[in-house]
Amino acid sequence: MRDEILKVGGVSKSFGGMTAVADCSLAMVEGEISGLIGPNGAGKSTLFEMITGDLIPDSGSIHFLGKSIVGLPSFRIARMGLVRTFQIPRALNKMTVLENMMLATQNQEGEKIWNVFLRPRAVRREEERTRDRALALLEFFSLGTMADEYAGALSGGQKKLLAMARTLMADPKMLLLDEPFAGVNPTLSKRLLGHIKELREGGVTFLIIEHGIPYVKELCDTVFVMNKGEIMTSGTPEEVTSDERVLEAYLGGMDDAH
Amino acid sequence: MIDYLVTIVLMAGIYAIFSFGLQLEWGYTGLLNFGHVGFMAIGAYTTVLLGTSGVPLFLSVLAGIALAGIMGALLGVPTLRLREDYLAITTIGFSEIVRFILHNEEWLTNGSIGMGGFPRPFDALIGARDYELFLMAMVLIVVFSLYLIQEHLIGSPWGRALKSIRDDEGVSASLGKNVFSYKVQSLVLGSMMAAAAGSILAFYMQFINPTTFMPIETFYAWIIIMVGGSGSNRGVLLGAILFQLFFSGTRFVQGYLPLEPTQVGALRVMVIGLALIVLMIHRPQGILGKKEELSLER
Repeated sequence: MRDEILKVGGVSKSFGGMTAVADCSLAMVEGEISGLIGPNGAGKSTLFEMITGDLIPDSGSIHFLGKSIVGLPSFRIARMGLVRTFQIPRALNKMTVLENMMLATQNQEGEKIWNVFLRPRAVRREEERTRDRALALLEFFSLGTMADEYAGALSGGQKKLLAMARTLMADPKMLLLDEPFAGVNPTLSKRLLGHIKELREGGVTFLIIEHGIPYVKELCDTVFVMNKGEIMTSGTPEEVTSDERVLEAYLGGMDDAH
Repeated sequence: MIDYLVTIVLMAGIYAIFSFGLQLEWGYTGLLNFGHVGFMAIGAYTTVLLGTSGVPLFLSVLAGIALAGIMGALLGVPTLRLREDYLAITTIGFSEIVRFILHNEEWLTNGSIGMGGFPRPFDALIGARDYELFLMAMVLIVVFSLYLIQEHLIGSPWGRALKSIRDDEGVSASLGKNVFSYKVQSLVLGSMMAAAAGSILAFYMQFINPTTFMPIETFYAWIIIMVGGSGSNRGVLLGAILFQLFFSGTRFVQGYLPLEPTQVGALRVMVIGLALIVLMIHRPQGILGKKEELSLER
């Protein structure tokens, strides 16, 4: 039995009387890929943002690697190795692709202003290591030729790849991906799929919000289904996709829309 | 003629030092500081007040820079967690408060009458005739060092973190960067540069009063950055020189135009406004700014 890496216990969040997430609990085991699915407005993103520290839950507990992370600012949670991507890829457009990558390395000596002046040589050596690693990763993600371009010049799909590659520079233990396949063309999607699998082999844990059921089936060990702020069921992809209630939730959600 | 050139270089240098601070805050960190001049005033007055009471000038300049840094931190800590427009409002309020304090605390600052006759570094040694030349050399050294320091900082991982905050602070935070801490550091450093410019300005003018530090000074720095290019240190140098050439150039015009001095002053501001509009239409990134940094918005 491997260790639980993330444990969410009964978290709730409401916005001005509107309950977005109600008493959600889930646990994730190291090295697994979990999916979080559910109709629009089910509370997936709210739950996600509570885990990343962008929102603070009204009640409940969240533990990452055994430590409570409720109330920690998002940058501290990221430093612990729980790193997210955004639904709409947010490249740092006015910086080069390489700078985007190099930024993400954690605990750089050169990020402290005194080291920039007092230990310039150590900082320079560190920069060379960071650059080499960034270039290797960019190569791995087939973005090597774009290294010196402004990130803003990348296509939407390339930005998603960059976002993924960038999080890896931070040496994450767990990645939270918000709709990684949305708006990505099939070729890139296939590559992204391969990258995620390879990273899992490398021991990274994933929680993925995704609407594309084929991707969920292909990737996930466990799927959590959210509806109306609650986790209504969880299980293997086969179990949940054959669950009547899940289908109804999706279709029911559509009924509401009409 | 030499005197005239010295004046231009001196003033351009002082404005460059002043604008380097704003460039760090706005051009590299994206902080909207509309009260930069407040820190210049703190630097100038601290230096002058300590200098007159016998503190060695070197120390009084450092004290002014340090005090401005501390004030930057005090101002930044409550406001830098808020949205950027709040910082703009707070800073402009801050600089006006500083000016009013200098105006009203007459026991300390002599109020609107201002302060003059204070000691200047190596005053006796150099003598009045060559003093401006000496000051110009000092300013050039400071400008050049500051340029190198700023370039070194911006090229470092520290500077990279600042630029990421300018682009999208949510991303910086998601990658483990302490956005708030970097913003405070940027504001503190920028304020210290403004204070250094203030000390030198006092030495040059030999007289300061609260009207030396009107809000318009902050916007002169903004003009310099917009003309030179935001996010470009060379742009600061070019912007400061152009700005100073324009300002002193319009003084020549005085004799040839049937206008009162106040009208020339108004005309000057009108021309700056027009020039900025033309610049924003044809080269919105400034003369030395990078076009991509404007056109690649999200």
